[in-house]
Amino acid sequence: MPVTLKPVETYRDDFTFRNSAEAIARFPFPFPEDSYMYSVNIEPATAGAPGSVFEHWFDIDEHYRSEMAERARVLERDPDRCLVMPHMQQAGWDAVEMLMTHLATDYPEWFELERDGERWLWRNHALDLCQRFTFGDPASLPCEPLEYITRQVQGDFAMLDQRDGNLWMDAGMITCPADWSIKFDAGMSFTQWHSPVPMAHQLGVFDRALKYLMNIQVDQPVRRLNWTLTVNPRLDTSSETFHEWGGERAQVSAENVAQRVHLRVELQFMPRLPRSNALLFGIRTYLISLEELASNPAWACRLHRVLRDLPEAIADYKGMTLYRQTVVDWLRQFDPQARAA
Amino acid sequence: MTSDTASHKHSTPVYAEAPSPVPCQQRIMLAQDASHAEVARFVEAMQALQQPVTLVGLTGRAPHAVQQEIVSDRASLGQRLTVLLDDAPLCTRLHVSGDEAFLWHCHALAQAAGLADEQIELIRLGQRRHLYCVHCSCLQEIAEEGEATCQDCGVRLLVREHFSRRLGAYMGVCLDACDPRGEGRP
Ligand code: HEM
Repeated sequence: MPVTLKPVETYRDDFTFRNSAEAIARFPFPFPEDSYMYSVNIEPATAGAPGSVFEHWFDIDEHYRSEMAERARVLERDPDRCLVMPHMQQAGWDAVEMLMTHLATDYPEWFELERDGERWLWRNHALDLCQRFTFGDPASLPCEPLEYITRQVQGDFAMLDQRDGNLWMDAGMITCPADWSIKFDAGMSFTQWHSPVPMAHQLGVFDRALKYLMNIQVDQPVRRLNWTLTVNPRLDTSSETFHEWGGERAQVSAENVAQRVHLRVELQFMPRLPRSNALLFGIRTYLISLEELASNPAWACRLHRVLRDLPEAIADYKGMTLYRQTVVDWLRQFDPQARAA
Repeated sequence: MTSDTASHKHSTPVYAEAPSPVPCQQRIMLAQDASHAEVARFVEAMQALQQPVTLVGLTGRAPHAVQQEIVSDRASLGQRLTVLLDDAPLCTRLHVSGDEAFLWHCHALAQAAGLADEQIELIRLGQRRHLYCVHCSCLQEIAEEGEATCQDCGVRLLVREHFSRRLGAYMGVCLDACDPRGEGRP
């Protein structure tokens, strides 16, 4: 069934973002168990059920127009959120090809691609764009190729150069990160940019994950889910803007917790780029308010247990220490065991 | 996300205490101040390894019998380094001594000139370091303090242990997002 796109909602100021019942039903709830600990939770990205967020490589949903409008706003203020080092040019074209061909195949009602050798014609009906260009010629596009295409695809994208037995964050379009900065992390290795994460290094999670990622083959992408909590449906929770949104963590109360606090889930998708041998790292972010989430009581019950028992180091790292108890107290009503105790 | 504990400082670099005694055909020492006592100590240690040493200083002269030259500014230092590395035998080691920002500036120059990370040894002198304000991208010099106020945007910053070699700087992030510039509290 073709995906229906909503009119533009906002991820800032008046925060009009909401999920429809369909969006809630397909939300990628990230907890397979009642407790959470970092692990190498990577799996082959095989096609998921029709309608699910795993159906296609790049998931387009009802929030498409809102998310693209939000990205444009972030870039207007801070153009360097899209960064491509000179040696990542080819990877940028790889990304253009991968994103355009998949979108045109998976969402033909919204995207069309005509290829005649190196002469390409791209049509985006959702944003009303039409672009003729020469594949491989940067002068034929209005901006950097990675920027051009990722202004039209939901989710952040990093591009990792693979050399010297490591992955290097040498390019990316990062306008909705969960509390980190592409401008600071650019040029770092997998080990370096992950250094602020507690516990996982000691568990050997990153050493094993890195080995796994470096062996990803063309057409055999992998995926994993990551999660955190965000106050208000704010997409741009970057380090760059932390001084503007961090204070909202202190505004959570028993009265507003269900509307204000959101579970934020990242569907991370990792395909090998065929020409450059770089790795693409898609970070597709889904937000759901606790109130929306509790329309599925099994989710609310599980989230209660996960948050109640989450190790303090992880809760601190995820920035929820100020309001975790308020959230747990509200979720308790959905946990029959806890209520009985 | 600011959970920096001592146990996993992978982005925080470790600096050389002495020249590593590996076999090599030539050693080049770039010194921010060639007259610094530590520079003399390193040069002596290298000479004891019986390996040829070339010293290039931005200021000062080594009191030592060592082949040395002085360049006038950072730009000529970069040019000189490129020439030296062009002519250098494959098995060359580069030593850089100075404050942290100088070290990573030279590290980037050396990598651009084709040296591998393993061929570069950094000797940190003094406590000066650079702080990157993640909110406005400005770089400023600090010492060992854990907090600072951004010179440019005025946000009070926590100095994180998170370090970028590309920027040669630590991340500074708003210390109190409820009161970013500290004007709200007495
Ligand atoms: C190459 C692709 C990847 C990129 C670009 C990436 C990037 C990042 C970044 C920028 C952070 C935030 C670090 C900070 O606090 O500054 C992070 C966190 C993290 N990453 Fe990755 N990552 C990648 C792959 C993976 C993989 C394969 C794993 C598998 C275990 C993983 C596990 C984690 C974990 C556990 C965290 C902490 C997240 C939290 O608690 O919210 N990452 N990652």
